[in-house]
Amino acid sequence: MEDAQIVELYLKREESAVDHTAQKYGARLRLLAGGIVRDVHTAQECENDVYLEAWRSIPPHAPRDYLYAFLARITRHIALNRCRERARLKRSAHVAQLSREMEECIPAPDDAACRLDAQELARALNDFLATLSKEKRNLFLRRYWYLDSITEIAAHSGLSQGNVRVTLHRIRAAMREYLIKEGYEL
Amino acid sequence: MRGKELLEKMEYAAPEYIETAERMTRVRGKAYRWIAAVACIALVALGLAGLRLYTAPSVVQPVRQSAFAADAPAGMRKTFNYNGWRYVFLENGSTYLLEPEQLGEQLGSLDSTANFAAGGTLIRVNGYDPLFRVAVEWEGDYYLGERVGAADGSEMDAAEYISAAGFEQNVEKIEICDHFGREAQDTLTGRRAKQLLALLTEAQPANLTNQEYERIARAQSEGRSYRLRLLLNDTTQTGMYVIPSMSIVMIGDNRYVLPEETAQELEAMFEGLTVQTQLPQR
Repeated sequence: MEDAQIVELYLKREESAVDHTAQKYGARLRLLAGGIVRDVHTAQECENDVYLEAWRSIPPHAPRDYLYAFLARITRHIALNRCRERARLKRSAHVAQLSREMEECIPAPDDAACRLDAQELARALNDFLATLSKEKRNLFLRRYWYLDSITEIAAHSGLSQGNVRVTLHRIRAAMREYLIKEGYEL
Repeated sequence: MRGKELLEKMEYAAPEYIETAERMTRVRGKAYRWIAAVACIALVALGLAGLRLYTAPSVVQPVRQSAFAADAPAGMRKTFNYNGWRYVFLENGSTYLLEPEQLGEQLGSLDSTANFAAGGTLIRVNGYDPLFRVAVEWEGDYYLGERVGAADGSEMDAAEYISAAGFEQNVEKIEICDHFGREAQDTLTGRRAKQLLALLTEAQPANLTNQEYERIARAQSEGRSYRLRLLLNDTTQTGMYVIPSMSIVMIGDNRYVLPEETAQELEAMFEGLTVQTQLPQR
């Protein structure tokens, strides 16, 4: 079934929307969640939460043209929340490592709340992503959006692990430079 | 702002970037393109010379599913026949991301025996024997089918199935779960996993009577049935059911019984596991 048809079912409050969503995107969402939480059972729980959240969010949202991205974003959010819960138990080394890496992108990291509102931050981020080549953008998003490990990225991209690390390091440095140059204060 | 917060705020990335990144393809340099072109010409030349080329199987990475073909989901299953065998669509017809390099040659198309994706193209998946799994391309999406039995209802040989699936080589671990697979009660790896698989290859088709079917149903409802979750090293999984107290093994749509000696070994492997007192509600 087409995405627009599935979204229409949500808008009409027909519960079959969830079944169609699960059928079309269940495996991919579970894969995404699994890559973040690193646990099959937790990934399945995340997937179920995603359907509930999608049911709550559509309407008002109507992601007819970007249903997968919409669901993936919810999945990522829920999976990261699960990791945060785990962090209290000191078991989220993967996310902690990624957070340290991301800190290299911030011109002057501090503990203050973000000085940009969500809209400005989204613009800054997407403007920067637009400056990257498609290959580099994909590497960056696989690492910091899908939270893939270096090994996974290397396997998917056909690059060596060393090459992936170096490329990511350069992209992080480039993002920092970009934010400074454009006057963004995070 | 700290790195942790920025990591979370990455969610603002544009939907088109997210979708493109999900389908990330291999990064190649210009030199690679020349090499690839030369390699293609060489392959064509070799093909014309009538040489048979061997293609190393690749790892099927994006496929991850939780339901087994051995399950009988509520409602009609989505099935198709190919080469005299019956296949069930994994996860009752979920789509999978399969990269071009994971796909092999076309094997034909789904005929009218398919109750889903009829007319779709059957494609070999590198790394899988078609006697275990095949891909189906239909309306631009990819699906996976797993063999569950013979199209004419005759028995499938357990040893042949286990061999075709490559479990001896590709099983990373086997979880022994309750009947619904909710809770792993034991995990077998290495030698123990191989030992269990070796026992299962001894299974012979069971010609069950109505009374025996009733006993199986009773064993399931009394919590004496276990689901084996086979986690493969390509991140996929499959499964089967075992009732050790009856020496019964269920693979796909088929029931098998173990010879007495093997059955005792199997029962010993399941000793000490929790017996559910009541069938949990779905």
